[in-house]
Amino acid sequence: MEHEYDLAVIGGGIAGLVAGTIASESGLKTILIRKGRGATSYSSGAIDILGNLVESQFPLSPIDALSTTGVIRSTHPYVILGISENNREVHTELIVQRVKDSVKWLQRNLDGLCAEFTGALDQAMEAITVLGTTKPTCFVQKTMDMGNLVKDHDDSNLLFVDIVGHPDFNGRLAARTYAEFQRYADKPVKRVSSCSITITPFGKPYNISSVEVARHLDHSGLPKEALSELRKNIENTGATHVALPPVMGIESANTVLQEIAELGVHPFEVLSFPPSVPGMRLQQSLDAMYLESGGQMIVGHEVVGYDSADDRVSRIIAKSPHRKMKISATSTILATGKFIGGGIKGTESGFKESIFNLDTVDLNYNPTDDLRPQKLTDRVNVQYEGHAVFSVGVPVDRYFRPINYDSQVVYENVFAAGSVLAGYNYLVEKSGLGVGLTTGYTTGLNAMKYIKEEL
Amino acid sequence: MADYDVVVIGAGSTGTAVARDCAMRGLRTLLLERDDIASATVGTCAGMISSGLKYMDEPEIVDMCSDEVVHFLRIARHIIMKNPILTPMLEMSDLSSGGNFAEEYSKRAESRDVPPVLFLTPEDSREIEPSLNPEIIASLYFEEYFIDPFRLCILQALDAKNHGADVKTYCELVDIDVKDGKIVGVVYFNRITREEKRVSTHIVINAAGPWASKVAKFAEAKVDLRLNKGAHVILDRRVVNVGVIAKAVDGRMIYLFPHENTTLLGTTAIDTWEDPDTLTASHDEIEYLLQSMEWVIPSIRDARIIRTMEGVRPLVADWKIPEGKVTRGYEIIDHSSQNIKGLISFTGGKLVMCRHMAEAATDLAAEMLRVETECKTHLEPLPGNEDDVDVLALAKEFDISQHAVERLRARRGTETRMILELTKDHPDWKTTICTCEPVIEAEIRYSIRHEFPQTLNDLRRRVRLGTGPCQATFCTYKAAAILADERELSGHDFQLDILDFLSERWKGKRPSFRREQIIQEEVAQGMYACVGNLDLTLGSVYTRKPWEDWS
Amino acid sequence: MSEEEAYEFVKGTLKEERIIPYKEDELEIIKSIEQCINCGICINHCPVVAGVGVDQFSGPRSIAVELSRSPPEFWTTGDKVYLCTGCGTCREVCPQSVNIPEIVNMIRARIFEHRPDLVPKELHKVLETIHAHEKAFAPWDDPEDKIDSRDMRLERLGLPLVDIESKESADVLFYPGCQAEEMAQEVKEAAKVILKRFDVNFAVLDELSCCGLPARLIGDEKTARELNTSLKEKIKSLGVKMLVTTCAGCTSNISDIAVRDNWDIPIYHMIEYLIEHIGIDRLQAEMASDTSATKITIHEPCHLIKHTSRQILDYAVEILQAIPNVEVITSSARDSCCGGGGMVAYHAPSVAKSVVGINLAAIDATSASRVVTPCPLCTATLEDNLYRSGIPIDVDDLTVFIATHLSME
Repeated sequence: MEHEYDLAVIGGGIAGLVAGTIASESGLKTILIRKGRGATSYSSGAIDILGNLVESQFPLSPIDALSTTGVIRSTHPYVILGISENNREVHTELIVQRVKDSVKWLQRNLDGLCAEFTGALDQAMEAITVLGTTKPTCFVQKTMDMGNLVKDHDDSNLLFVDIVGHPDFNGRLAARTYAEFQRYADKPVKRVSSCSITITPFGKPYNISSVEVARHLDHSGLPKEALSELRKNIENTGATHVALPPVMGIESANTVLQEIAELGVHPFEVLSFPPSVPGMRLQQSLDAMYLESGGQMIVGHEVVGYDSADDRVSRIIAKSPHRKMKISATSTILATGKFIGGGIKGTESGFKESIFNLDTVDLNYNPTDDLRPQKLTDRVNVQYEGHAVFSVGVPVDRYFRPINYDSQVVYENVFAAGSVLAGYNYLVEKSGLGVGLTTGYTTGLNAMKYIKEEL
Repeated sequence: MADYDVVVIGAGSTGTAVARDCAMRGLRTLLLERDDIASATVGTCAGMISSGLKYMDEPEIVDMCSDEVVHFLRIARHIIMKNPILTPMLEMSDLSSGGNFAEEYSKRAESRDVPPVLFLTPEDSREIEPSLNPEIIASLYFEEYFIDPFRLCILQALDAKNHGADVKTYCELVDIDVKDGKIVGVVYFNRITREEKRVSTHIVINAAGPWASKVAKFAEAKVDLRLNKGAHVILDRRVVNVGVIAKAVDGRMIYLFPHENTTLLGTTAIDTWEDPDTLTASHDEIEYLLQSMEWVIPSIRDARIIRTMEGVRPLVADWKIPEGKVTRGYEIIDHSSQNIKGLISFTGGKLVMCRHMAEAATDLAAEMLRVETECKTHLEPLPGNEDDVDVLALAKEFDISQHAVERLRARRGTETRMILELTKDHPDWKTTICTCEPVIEAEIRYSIRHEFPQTLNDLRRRVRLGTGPCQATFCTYKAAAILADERELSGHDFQLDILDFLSERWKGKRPSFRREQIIQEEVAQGMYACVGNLDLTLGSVYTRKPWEDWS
Repeated sequence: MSEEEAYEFVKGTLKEERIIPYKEDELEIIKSIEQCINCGICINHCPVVAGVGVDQFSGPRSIAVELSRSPPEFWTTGDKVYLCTGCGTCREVCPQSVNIPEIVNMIRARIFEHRPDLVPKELHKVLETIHAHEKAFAPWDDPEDKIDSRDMRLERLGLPLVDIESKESADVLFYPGCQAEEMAQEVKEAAKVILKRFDVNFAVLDELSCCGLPARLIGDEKTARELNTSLKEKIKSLGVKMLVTTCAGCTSNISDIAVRDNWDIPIYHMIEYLIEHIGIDRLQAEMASDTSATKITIHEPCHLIKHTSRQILDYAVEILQAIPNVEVITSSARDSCCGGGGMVAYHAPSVAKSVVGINLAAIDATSASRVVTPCPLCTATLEDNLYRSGIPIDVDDLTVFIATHLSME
């Protein structure tokens, strides 16, 4: 059977879901095809816009950084956002406007959902991580709002709290790290301490996973013993702020934190590593947002083929474990992610986009089809410039349509969004969800224009 | 009286065996290692305690190897596994070294409890190993034993300690004191406390492997070595059922061995003059191995490569012959012939011979010290080999997954119970820290307290932390917190430990970086660089490792 | 030693070293499992982990990166791998589509072959039944009782008994599966009612034999293969053009083996058949319009959505929406495993119960008075557990629900 749609979105991460929602809420018949979960599900809870600009020597607020991107590298997806319709030149105010619009739009759409977020584009935020380090970001889930911790650091007294038998977060070492690093950065809080509490979702104080704590708290709230352990430690340390592992509930973390707040402190969760509860919240909220807009979603299907005619993709074929589906759509958005999502494949002989076999390029749009991956890596594993391999993706035109090595648009009705794009390295820039959001938002609008024959 | 009778330099397989032998014979012994136990050559080998099949031209060496296998089975059975091995032939000339190979192997087989060399039909061979090339005409079958080389060295060092030896890791030899042509002491630099110390001794046994020449030079003595590097490609899990040996592109023999829960493809052999610390596997070496094995296992490239490892063999200095023709025997140099009394050095040798080498050197040392002693290293079990272990019963008793207990047993033997006992006082130590292996917190704590690891990489050698497909992506920060907690490290050192371990893993991952490991690395970078922000936080204070240096 | 003797000797060593060589088709599974990046997304979604926690069931990622990596040690994984309900959620959410359900079957097969003593003994009992009767359930002691039970069920539902007139040159084989053949006979009969209503030229097997899924899940690969062969022969001799089943497990399992063993006929679940071959318009035209208003919620069987295709449940909704006076309410756990899979309920009922608990709470939270699901096993599992928990919500197999909503002829 043939299924017909205005728009098919391939990929169910932030870029695909945002693009699909934009299209669907304006009345397009939209289907989103998703294989599994991808990098969006790994979210730490931060929504990075642009935390660090490698080319710049100074820390910048997201707005300032965005304003600078325009003069730095023309291949950056943010810069492509800023290409003016009229004179095809880059205008930074367009970039900033588009980012502002999409952030505002998402904030409105996630309002009241479990991944509701907080922050401001004109302020850099230094969010505390599970390691006790801090990371430059822009927005965090509401449960991660640190309150006046940094602003009033002279008066802040921070207590790190971990859970016995839960290996994903060690409060003692996080506390030690935070205290030392803040002292070094000359922004020390008055006091940093740590303690452990007991939460045993299945009655055993060992091998406790993050998700089971979160579900337990959703279901039964914070156990009385844990609350009294907390109270005791807050009294002993005089804590004003409490840093908790990001497992305080999937749906009801705000309620749990509220309960802790009643002990007279400002509680917040730290940023998480995968498998992350904040990632579940984000994925769940984005899914809900998309479905709310009336879009259809087909889960568990991988796009394994397509038909094309006259420079257009006319039909895509999706496969589940034992069936195949044929979908024809006027336009298609490719939001398959990078390596984790499976959008880009890197073998020993080079890189390819995995569905349409599109050409791939690196940060500066140099071809990577026959480049050995190792050549795009640095000898040092974790360092300031990162590894160029993570900027490999598809090159696009000003409407985010993939282009080939001859700079020709490959299919006039295919748009690419999110980390399948080349031209930036989200890991070092700390810009992953931000680029996903804004390019998803923009390709959604572009696809709509295309479908209405206005592009 | 001197501080020590013997100072042993280098804690590889030979050095730890020497220290054990000396200590068991009552000699006052100090073992000095500039890095960690088994951190160089032996740590990059396949663990085969070879019956000597490659050396059939040297029958006396084959005899020795065969006997040593029997000794190992007696003293370290708990860390040994048997691998059936196929040598498939695409043509008759694929047979390694002519006709006498099978004969030489077979006549010693019985004592090791293995069959003589057998011939299998192509059909039967493919039943055993379906990924073999269907074009094979027959295959040769034999069996070899494999030991965990890290545990062997650690157990030898621990046993030396138990017999009174001092074992000092991260202590680098910086000078040898010679007086009147006689060794009188050594000076070493403790890399952790940054202090230098001088101790007196009568004898120095130089078991520094590829660094043996450098060590001898401190006493103005000379050791000639032919250094030869070799690379392995490590594949995720056991992708073959049995070991496979094949003729490489240049006619050498290479192998694919199931090893613990990985598969090892090796090795290359290239003469080298580089500093062994700076070496990593090259693209050429990886291709050499893959293309060579591809002839008999056509699907080998589909397997997931998790990393590579590169080591340096300290061969006996036979020149102007191919590497394969250099004797696999060892030589003991008594430097009295160079007018330095009390200095003994090794060249050559193989893992299987380490105990034998130690016995010979200790005999010589004892003679120099005029002590009459008897070697017992082939009789007394290494720690953990005292008894059988009932995995299912222990799993039940301690409420820990059977597989976690079985993997613990494979490393620990009878120590397993002792480690599990710790969880009675600390139930939270039952928590799995490394999910690939797996490793539970109790074993990590135990190892930190009793096996003197200084870094996460040292822990890897002791408990196989971070050796799985994710290459420490998910255990590093958890284990680092435990190490920092036990050692009361600063937050700064906690973070540096994380970076150090990631660097060390990257050393092996980068040369073969492709496919799954790109995806894996995106996850790791996402965690440690992007979220953990270690790229911005520590970039400026991190000291580059020798292999990371640009110069 | 001759080559034959040599091979026998080698087999002895392999046994001693606990090495069971991979078969060629298993290498595909190994390749899939190697893709695991240990990220743990599966842990966040696994219903068994949700039910009992990672300490008791270490979860799909542990199966991929830990329990399946060293074949000689497979015997030690029995305390974990038999707790997997095989729902396939992990494979679906996995960014790398790692085929955990199949590796679980493979490990179980090795434990079964090498250490049958470590296979839960209740599963050996199931196998005894399968061996004796070629079905997962023992036949009725008295065939008359079976007929009585069937008639009673039909009467309760107000469904007629359909006799199949001809099975010569039938186009369709209707295959109810063991559960509907022996236990939930109303599902089999309801399917016949539907097929007859739409003039489908169909046949049923004289002597139904099991599709082999339970044996495969237990690890008895040999029995599973024998059952696969036996079923194939029966179907080939009928010469049908397609197979239609009402069982979710049979749909996915037969879809799988039909490709593997070259059956050369398509396999459909009843829902797919109705949508793709009968068409929603014809279906809608046959629905009764005078039924009372009902609020229902759907339970989505794992073997359809995660092992076959999610599309099938979209079809199911389409059908339900075509039935007058039926309102479909979504349960937050609609696609969560009912705990009935993977043979877990046979030997670890407390684990199965924890898994189904997630469903019960969610179903209870809807305002639906009835759960509908296109699988007799899910129906039985949910019915039993809702009843035991005192939740007054009925459960219908979807085929039965459709049949009972057809207009009177």
